[in-house]
Amino acid sequence: MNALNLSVKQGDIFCLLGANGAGKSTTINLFLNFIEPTEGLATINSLDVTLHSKETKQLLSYIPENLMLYPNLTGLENLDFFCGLGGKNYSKEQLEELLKQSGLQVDFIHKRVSSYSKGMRQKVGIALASAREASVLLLDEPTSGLDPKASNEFSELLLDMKDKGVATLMATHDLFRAKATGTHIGIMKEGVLIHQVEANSISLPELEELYLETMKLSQTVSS
Amino acid sequence: MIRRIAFKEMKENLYEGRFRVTIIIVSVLLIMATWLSLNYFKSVQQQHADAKANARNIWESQDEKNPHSAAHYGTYAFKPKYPLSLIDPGVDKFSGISIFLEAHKRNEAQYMAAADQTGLARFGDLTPDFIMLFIIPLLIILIGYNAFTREQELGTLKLLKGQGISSWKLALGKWVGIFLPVLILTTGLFVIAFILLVNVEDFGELNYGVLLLMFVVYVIYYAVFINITLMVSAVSKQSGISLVSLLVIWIVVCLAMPKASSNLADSIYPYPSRQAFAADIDKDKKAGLDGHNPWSQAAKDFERETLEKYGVDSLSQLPFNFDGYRMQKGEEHEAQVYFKHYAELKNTFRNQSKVYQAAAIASPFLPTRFLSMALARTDYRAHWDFSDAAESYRLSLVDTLNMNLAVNSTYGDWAYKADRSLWKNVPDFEYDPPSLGDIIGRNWSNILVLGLWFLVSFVGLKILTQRV
Amino acid sequence: MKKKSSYINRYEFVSLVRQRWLQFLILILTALVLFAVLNGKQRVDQRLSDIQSAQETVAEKDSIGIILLDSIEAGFTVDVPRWYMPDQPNVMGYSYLRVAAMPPDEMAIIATGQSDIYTHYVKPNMYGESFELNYTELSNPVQLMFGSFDLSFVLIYLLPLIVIAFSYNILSQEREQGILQVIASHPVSVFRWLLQKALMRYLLLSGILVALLVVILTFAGVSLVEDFEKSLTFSFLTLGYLLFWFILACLVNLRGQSSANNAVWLIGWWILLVLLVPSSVNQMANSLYPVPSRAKLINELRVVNAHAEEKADELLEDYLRDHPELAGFEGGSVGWQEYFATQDLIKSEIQPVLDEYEIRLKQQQDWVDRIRFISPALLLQSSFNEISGTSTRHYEHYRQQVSEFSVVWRDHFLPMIFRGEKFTKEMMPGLPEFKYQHPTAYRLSVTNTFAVFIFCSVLLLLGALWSMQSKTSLLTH
Repeated sequence: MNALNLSVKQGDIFCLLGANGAGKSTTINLFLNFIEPTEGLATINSLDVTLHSKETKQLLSYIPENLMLYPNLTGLENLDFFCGLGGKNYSKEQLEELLKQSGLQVDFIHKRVSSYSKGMRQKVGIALASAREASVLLLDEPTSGLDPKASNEFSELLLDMKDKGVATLMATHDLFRAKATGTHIGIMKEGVLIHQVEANSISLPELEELYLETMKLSQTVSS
Repeated sequence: MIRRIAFKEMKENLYEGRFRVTIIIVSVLLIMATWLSLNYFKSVQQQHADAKANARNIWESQDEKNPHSAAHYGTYAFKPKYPLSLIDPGVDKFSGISIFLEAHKRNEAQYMAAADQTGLARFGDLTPDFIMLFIIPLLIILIGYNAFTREQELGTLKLLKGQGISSWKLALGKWVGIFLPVLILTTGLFVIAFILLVNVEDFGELNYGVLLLMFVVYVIYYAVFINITLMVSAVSKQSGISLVSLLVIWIVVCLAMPKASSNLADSIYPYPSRQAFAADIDKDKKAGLDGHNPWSQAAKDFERETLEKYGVDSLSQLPFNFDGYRMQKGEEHEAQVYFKHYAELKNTFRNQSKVYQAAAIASPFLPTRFLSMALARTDYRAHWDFSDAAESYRLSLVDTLNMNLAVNSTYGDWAYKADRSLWKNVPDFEYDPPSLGDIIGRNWSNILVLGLWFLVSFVGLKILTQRV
Repeated sequence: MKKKSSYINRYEFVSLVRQRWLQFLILILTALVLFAVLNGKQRVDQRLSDIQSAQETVAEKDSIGIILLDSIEAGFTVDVPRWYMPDQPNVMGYSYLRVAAMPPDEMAIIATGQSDIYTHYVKPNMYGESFELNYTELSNPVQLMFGSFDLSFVLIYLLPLIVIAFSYNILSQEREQGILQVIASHPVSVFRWLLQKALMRYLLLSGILVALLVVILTFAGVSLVEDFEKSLTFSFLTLGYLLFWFILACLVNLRGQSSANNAVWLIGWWILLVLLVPSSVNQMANSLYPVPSRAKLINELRVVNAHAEEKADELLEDYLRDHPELAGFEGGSVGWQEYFATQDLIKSEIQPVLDEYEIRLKQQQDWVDRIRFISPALLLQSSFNEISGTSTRHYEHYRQQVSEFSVVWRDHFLPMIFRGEKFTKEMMPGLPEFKYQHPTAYRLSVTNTFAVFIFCSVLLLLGALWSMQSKTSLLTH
């Protein structure tokens, strides 16, 4: 990773684009404090994540590409458990309500997660994020592998979160979704954030052109 | 095709650190165990030779004395140490090393090595058989538990099947891939053992056929374990499940079954306590002729019969010393009592063995364990064999001495002393261990069960791998 | 406000129940403990009934003796050869023997220990020397080799394997499934979360185990309150050992390798600590302090015997000089005095040779005791045998007591024999009786318990240090 400089404000959805290995996941892992930066720092609410790991994790919620939950527990039990880990206690009714809001079919709420599809698990993830009242949402390719309908539902939920003032950092391959839901778009290559644009300042074809051009860019840019 | 799969398996294993480390550890353990065994074997061999010569020396240097006194004085039979005990010391540690041979009494072998060790002796010793019976099966499990599950998890199984290879050929290839390294290890051990044994001075008679047979027994044992490992790997959905199931099988087969069947054998066919056994013998002995008691009813009856038989009126008219004759007859009665009680004990032992044989159906460890000991002549049967040989030597020794007294002295003449040459003329105790034919004859059921395990597990492998 | 740990505990428990782990653990532990305790009980009952029937035989023989003595004292002639006449003190001393028994300890069920090798009663007579008594039990050596399926086996060998099967993937499974990353994105430390999970599993397993042990042992007639300190030591040892394996499982998981690799590592540790270390320690003890050849002893004994018999006449004088109270009784038999004088000489000459065995065995034991800290399995084994009263030391102690008793027994009759006195019915109740004294302190056990927990603490500390260093490698690949 090189001299990456990006900031996401409340109510922003920052979409990170880039090829596999460009450093998108690494960026997210930095904020999660899964890896430590060799230089510089990652902050959430002006708190350094390495020094205040616990406090910053209190503020964020994370949904990986394929959110894994305990297969032997129901969706509701998983939600209850992770809320508990995040220091939030909810009653059973509140948890059911949260899951319903995030669009999980009612009859699946009390079924074991082993019977869930990927989309259903991602919905539990969203329910978790809103239950945790996270002010920061870190998403690592959350829609890859989802069918277009599920993907669309997911974007709707993201926009809801945005309206609540959540700052979202999302790594994705989906230019269309990035343009549609993102407020800001960044393009990464070999650990460097090469372009950073506002989503409404660029059209989808322009974005695609910019992306492909960046990918073709010679090696000299890096280092 | 099978060969190609086998090489692929071995190459994959070889690249994996886990495999290299375990193979190295097992080899080091084997070498250590063999070295320790060799030292122990040499020292015991020496002790045995010294003691045997000493005992004979003491016997021969007796003064002139009444031959029956010499029979009371007695001598010792020492159990020889067999060359293959280097590989499998069997129950040697738990059976006595020498039997005192004296008039009137059949003694048990005394001084088991385990009684001269701390309680830790019960954890077992680091000997080659320990490695071969316990650790190598574990090695097989570690090499093979993911033979199929790994291919399934990586998705390479579909790729392989896409090449048109049959399940059975795939299984056979994997089988060979696990078998070859194990075979090399085992062969190495037996070759080293062979070289060591040939180079140990006075290593006794080593039957090469027995060594070879022992090798075959172990190889079949490993083949059974490979079959089981591959079967479990074929039906398991994940490597982890396969590994845990195989470990459970290993524990049951190698640890739990032997112990549990021991407890079962003991509770169904209990051995008498030493004291109770001796008391029963005493009771029976007293009911019959006591060579030292001319006043008992049995002695009086015997006296009358003898007089009638020789048609004389008094004991002094007999052509031999009646005291000596009565001693011998008393001895014969006692020998019969011993024979009866030891036959009962042996029967209990046989029944216990049947329990083990029945348990062998659930554990390939058991027939291998018993065959290995039997071939090394360190099993309980071999001990019985030695003990019986010592008893028949004792009887002939006492017979010679009593009859010498009867023939060479007259009734009432207690002053008779046999010449010292008599001690030398009595042959020394020589014991030949059971022949290979005998061993096979006695262990046919173990051979059968092990063979059955081999066949059934192969058939099972074929059936279960069809579904892969 | 509920704590995070209560969430971890609750859902760990629910998961275990849904995966049927809990049911499996209860089932397998019940089966193992029940079978082991039944085996132990059978052994102890057998031991008790052997001793019981020996006592009965003695009582029977005594009552016949009393009848005979009655008749003799009343002046009747009895149809018994001279050497069976109980009015002869030497006959009493030779055939009206007492049972010198070693009854089982309260908790003997726990560990077979050396009880299958050694006999539990002997009847010392006044002629033989106690060292000539054969203390080894008549048994099928195959059974000695395989050992018994006792509680000690279940706890020392099998319990760690159950822990390993239960927890080899306590962290790696979550890691492989990808749940660990989700957990780590929460404000909770992975190490703490792992500890909480392991603690939950540990408490669960301990609870099941302790409940089973209490119920089954009580059912088998073992009173756990009789010697509460022993029961407590036993429980702490077991629980500490359990903890040790749980911590080891966690540590191996923290290395961040695959579940299968973890299982292999844990099995490797198990083989090392439970199989290889104990047998190597035993073999090292044997080679450091080798017991002299028993085969050689046999011949030495014969030489000493022959030597003593040659000197018998000369000996008698010395003997009577040492025992003036025994000399010069009219009607006393010189033959007897000669015999016992010879016996004394044999004993004094052979004693140093015999002591050598005891000394070597003791040196081995001391060495083993010193080195026992290298494996918790050794700690447990030595303590369990101590608690059960089946350790080598207990049998050594018993042999010592028998040896003392046989001197008392002989000395009871010697003056009578030398004085040519008759044994009378009134003397019957005055015969010496053997009473087994339990060794008072069961050393080691408390130290061992502490040692097991020190083992655990060291591992835990190691784990904490390690987890600080290797946190990142667990979460990214």
